[in-house]
Amino acid sequence: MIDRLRRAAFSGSSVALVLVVLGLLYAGSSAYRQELAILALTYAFLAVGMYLPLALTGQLSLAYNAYFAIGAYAVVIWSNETTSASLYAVPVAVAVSMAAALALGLATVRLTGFHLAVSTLLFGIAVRQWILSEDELTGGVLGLGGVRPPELFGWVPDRDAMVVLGALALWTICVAIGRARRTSVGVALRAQQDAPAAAAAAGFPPRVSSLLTLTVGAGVATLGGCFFAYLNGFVLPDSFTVSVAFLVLFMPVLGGLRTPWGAFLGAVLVICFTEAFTFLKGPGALTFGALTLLALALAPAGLLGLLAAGSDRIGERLRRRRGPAQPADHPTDEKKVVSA
Amino acid sequence: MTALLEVRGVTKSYGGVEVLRGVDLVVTPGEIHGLIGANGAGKSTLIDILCGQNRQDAGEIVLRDRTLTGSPGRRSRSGLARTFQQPQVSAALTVAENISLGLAGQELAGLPRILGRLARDILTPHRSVDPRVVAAAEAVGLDRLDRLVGSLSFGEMRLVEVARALVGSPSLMLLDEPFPGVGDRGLDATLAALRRLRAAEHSVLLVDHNVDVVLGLVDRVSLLVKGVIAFVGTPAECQRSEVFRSVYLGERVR
Repeated sequence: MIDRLRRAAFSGSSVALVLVVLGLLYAGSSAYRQELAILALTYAFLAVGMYLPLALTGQLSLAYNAYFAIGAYAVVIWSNETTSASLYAVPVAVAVSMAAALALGLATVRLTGFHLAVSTLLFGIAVRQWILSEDELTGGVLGLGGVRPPELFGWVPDRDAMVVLGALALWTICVAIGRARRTSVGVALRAQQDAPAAAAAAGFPPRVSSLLTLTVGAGVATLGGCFFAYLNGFVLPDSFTVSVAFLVLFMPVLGGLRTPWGAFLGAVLVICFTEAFTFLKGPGALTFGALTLLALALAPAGLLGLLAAGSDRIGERLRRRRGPAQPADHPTDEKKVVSA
Repeated sequence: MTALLEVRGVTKSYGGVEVLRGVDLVVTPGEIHGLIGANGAGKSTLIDILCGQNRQDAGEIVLRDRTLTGSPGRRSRSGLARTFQQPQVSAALTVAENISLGLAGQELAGLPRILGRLARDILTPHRSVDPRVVAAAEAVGLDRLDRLVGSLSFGEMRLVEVARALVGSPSLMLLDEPFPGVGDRGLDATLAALRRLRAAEHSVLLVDHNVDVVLGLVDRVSLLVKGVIAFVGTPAECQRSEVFRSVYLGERVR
């Protein structure tokens, strides 16, 4: 019982809950701080999206600025170009992103991870170029406003309600991914990384696994783009540069790849270091880079991995005090990290 | 004698070097069949071809009167399971998770079933380990299934592989050198598991260098020499065979 409580207290979801509470306290009534909190939540969608192919099937896709842009521009273009409910833009955007990710995945499925990284990077650049060149539709370099708020069964959520809905959506996605990792499909996906021949011999098609994580990851990131557009009311092409993809890459790595909550934690940390901590503004990116290297050197399993290791040490001490060994509870992700 | 597996005239060359030169092999239901031969004789190549992880240049493979073609997954669903000469286990997964991978072929065939199963398991997660996985682990003497495979010894990794092959109750198990490094306890457990499998009318094609272990276990043995089957017989016939003794044991006969 004590072990379960300890694991729950040190779990990724608990850390995320603490971060959400701290974020709300930090944002308070300051419009600027609220913007940062919204940006952190938006980036968390992108990071969780990138987590899927990166952590589950070991694939590096760098088109996340494109998926982010597709979500945001779908909402703003739908609002301006159609009269139907702006919420319909969300499934359309997700479908477009997933189709693009599927096409990129199919084109490179027989090639190496390098080819996937390069082609997705090119796709990210191409989408931004397209946004800049199609100024009648996208507003070009000046961006585009006029986002109509979403309507849910006659209810139009205000800004605060939209943040809560966004956070709940992300929470649900993280819980679902955390559970998916432990399902038979999740196990087969993860086995692709270091035992692909065994996964293939056991009958799980390797192409399916890589395409599944790439497309679902793109869809999750696109939800972040939609959320961003609804909250801001307008979009600017500068929000979707390729550097976003590289920044997002840090997030799951820094937070920890063993659980999707690591991506959430990483997103918050990246925003803290690159935007919120004003005392780092001068050498901001450089300091962040150095801190990331330091964090990875000290915690190769990410910060949640480090936390889980600490939790396990506490558990070990408690067990020693209690005396004879207790039967092991069901393994959790955190426990696996420690065992590693 | 009805054949479970029939290999007919299988050939395979790599860059002009003939590794298999018309292999014929029959495994009957409930039989443990040993395949032995020196290094480079073509044993692992034959196993790879049987599993669909390599393609033969010519020849036919028939399992239960059906020609075996297609991907490893398709062959897995036809009732084939295998282990690898170098254990192919995922270090980041637990023992239970690695073993459960052996069920993936049967339960996750096709995208609709994969997505359906994924949705069901996300909505109603089950925390206990599948009883079939526990049984397969027990069959080879593995315990503490929540350990990460990366923390196991080499021998234990082999046992995980054997358990993974066992878990789906395949009609034919292809074991590529399953014994090196498993230790006495692991060896006894694996041999007992294989005998139970035979009693349940499952068949095994066993590749190993340990002639004493192989001859003490198998019903028949085939000797592969330079890409052809040079001898087939029972262990007793093997001991008497001049071909077997001269070619495999290196004895000078006459």
